[in-house]
Amino acid sequence: MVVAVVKRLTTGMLPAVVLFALLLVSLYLLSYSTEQAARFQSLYEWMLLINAVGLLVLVTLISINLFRLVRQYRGGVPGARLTVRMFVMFVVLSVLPVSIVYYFSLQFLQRGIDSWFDVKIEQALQNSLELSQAALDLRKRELLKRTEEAASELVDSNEDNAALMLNDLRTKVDANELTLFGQNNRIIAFSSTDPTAVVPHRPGDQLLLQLRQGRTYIALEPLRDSGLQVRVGVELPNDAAGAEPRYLQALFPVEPRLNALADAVQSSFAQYKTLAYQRTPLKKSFMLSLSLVLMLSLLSAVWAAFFSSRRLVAPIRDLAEGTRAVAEGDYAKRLPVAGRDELGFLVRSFNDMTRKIAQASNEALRSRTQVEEQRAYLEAVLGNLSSGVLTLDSDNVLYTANAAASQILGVDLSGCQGQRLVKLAVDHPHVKRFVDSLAPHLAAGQADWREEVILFAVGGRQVLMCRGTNLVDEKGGRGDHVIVFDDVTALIQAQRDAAWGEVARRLAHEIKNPLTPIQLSAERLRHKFLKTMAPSDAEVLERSTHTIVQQVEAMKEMVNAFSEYARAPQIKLLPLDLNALTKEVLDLYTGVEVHAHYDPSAPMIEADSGRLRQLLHNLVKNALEAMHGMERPRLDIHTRCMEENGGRGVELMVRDYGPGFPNECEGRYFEPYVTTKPKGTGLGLAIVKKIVEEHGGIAVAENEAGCGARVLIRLPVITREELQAEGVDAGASKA
Amino acid sequence: MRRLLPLFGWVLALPVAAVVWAAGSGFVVDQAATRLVDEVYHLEAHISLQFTPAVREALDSGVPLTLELDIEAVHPRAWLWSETVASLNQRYRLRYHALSGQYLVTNLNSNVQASYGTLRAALRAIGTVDDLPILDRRLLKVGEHYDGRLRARLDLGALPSPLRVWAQVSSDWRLSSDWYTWSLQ
Repeated sequence: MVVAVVKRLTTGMLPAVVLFALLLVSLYLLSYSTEQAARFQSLYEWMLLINAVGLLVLVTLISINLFRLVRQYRGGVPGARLTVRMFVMFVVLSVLPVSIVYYFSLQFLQRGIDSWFDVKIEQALQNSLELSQAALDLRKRELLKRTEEAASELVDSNEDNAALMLNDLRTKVDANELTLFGQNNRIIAFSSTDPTAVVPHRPGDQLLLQLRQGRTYIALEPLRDSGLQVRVGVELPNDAAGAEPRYLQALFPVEPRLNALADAVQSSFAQYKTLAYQRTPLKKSFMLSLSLVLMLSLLSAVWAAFFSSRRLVAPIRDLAEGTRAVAEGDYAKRLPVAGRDELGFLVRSFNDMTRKIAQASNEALRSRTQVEEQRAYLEAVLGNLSSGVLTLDSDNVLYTANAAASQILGVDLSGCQGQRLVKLAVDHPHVKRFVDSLAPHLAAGQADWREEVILFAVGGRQVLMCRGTNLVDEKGGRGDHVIVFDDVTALIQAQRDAAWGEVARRLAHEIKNPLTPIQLSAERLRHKFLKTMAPSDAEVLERSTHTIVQQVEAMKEMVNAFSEYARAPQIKLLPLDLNALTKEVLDLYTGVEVHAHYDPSAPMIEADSGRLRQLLHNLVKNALEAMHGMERPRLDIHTRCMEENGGRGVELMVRDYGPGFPNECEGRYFEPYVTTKPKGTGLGLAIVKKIVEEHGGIAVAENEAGCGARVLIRLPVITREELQAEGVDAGASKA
Repeated sequence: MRRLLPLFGWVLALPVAAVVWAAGSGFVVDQAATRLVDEVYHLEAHISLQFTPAVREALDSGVPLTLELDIEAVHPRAWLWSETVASLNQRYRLRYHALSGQYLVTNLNSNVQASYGTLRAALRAIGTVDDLPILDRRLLKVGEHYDGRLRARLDLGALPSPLRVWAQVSSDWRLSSDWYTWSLQ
């Protein structure tokens, strides 16, 4: 509260007005008192007091302000430097002219007061005084002479007639009063023109002293109100020795005209003398008051400099603080409007600006939040998709990839963003096939495409269904690519299993069932009519029924084989050495030149030995059948440990030197009933492929230049748990 | 020893000179007493009044001076300041009459004027208080003890204004005696 009041007093407008009024009053008093010296006397001390109080107040105000300003300057408060600069400027601007005026006023004052006093006037007054004294001296001598004459006439008087004689003498010498007195001031007689006077004017000590010393006394005496009188004292001549000495005192008036003139001279002289004596103190006083007024105006100017510089700087300081706040991101900052001038306009503009910035920043924040939300939503959707999603920019650089993509491809794609797709294939070779199959579509810039890609990944064979879309950018050119892919391995397997299972069931039901009655009927015909028929007919019958039975048997066999293919028996995975199994199977085949090469480092695999044995038989049989009729059939069998794509596996290669796969069947070698052979079910390679797939492997069949057909089987080294997790068992158990 | 004697003399002379100077210019109440005449206290006092050269110069330049005798009857109290029972001021105006060469003394209380040929005579006249009735005894409580006190001073307030300001701050003009106290019987 008190601090606020003090602050208002030291910074507000009121003290300024009061001080200004004080200054004006002082100036008025000064000018007034210089005009009229008489009035000045009574006002002077008041003026001193008021000025002293004003000075004290001003010094206090300025000290407080200066202290505050210095503290602000040191503290680096915004606007303090500007305030100091303006303050110094104001002070210099006000102090210089005031000082000049002060100097010249002082000079003027000195000369002005000095000009009141003139040596000639002083001399003239002195001369007139002396002239008056000379004139009076003449008169005094004459009166002394008269008194002495009167005294000599009184010599003979005694106490009885003295009074009478005095009366006569008084009229004779034209005195106002005559007094005769003896020793010890004893009045013997007196005579006065004033009939009311009962006692004479008492002779002064000086007079008595001089008379006792034997000298006469004569002096001018100023009267109480105005005018002069002459007092003369003489001793009466004394003839008789030892007689008591007697003295005569006479009071004479001065002629009225002379009296008036002398009075005038005396008063003028005294007045002038007094003034002349007071010249120095008067000058000092004027200088003092002038100095006081100067100090007052100077300090007022200094204080006003404080006031106005602070007033001027306040909006600028606010602006500085405001800009700093805005720079620090506080857009809610509003400044108090300073007024209607340009600064006020600046402040209003600043407020408008910050308001707009605040709006814009809020808008931006809101839209960013929306974008973030949408992005998070999109990411959540993508992350929860079971399909892998990749986006590539127009230069085939990976832009985004969802979690499912990483999982399906077996590559942590979150760290690969910003890499080119080609580089991805180099770093992770097992996705090379995937990348290679995408490349032509990406290069062609097809708007929409589909592709099925088969990978041999860590977890074994994978069938990916890829769909790509080329996003057209705003310029209409080739833009980013979105590739969505699903791991359809299990799905395809299941579909195929289901399809073949159905076929097998139908075959068994529709075909196998009528076969037995056919066979039985044929055998019954033979059995019944063979003995009764003529031998020639019997031979025909015999041959026909044999053919029927044989063909039915073959058909049964075929149906069984198909069932075997379609039915997926429960496979029993056990640790197995593929090298040993291959050797074992090959031992059963003779009449063929086998070039076998077994990789001793080939690891054990988890597999069903029965199924694998069948696989090998099928492969060898297939090769031998292909080479049927050749003079020196040759079979190459290689096993190899395969260490690539971050996983291990075993590769089995079976190569024959037959005619190779027919070109018209390219790409469909593993499908059932795709065969060119005269004999065979057409299921050999299909079963091979099925068994390989059951084990999570991959089978590749191709022609090799210079040789015949070559079949590559790759089986992963995986544990049973992994296989089960891959769903092979589940798929297999459906049939 | 002989050579040291003058130095000794100077050393002794210094404080003496100071005392002499102090006594030569200044107001001192030499003696004051009251006498009871018809239940009224009458004051008899003698004050030696001496002017400093500055004051003397002002007087000779025609500046009228006012001298004041402050006479008080006080009741001294044990733990408090003394209570002033009655006070009386005798004021005299002294001025130099250049034409006649006389010093005029006017008693401002009675408006009686007297002229003296010398300043000394004029000051002696002012400094001699003879048979001045100051207080009726009946105004005082019986049985209490009262003191009378007196001092003389130059009244600076009565000086012309410019002079007054400077006189207030100048030691040349500070002429005032100490209080002289006596017992009122």
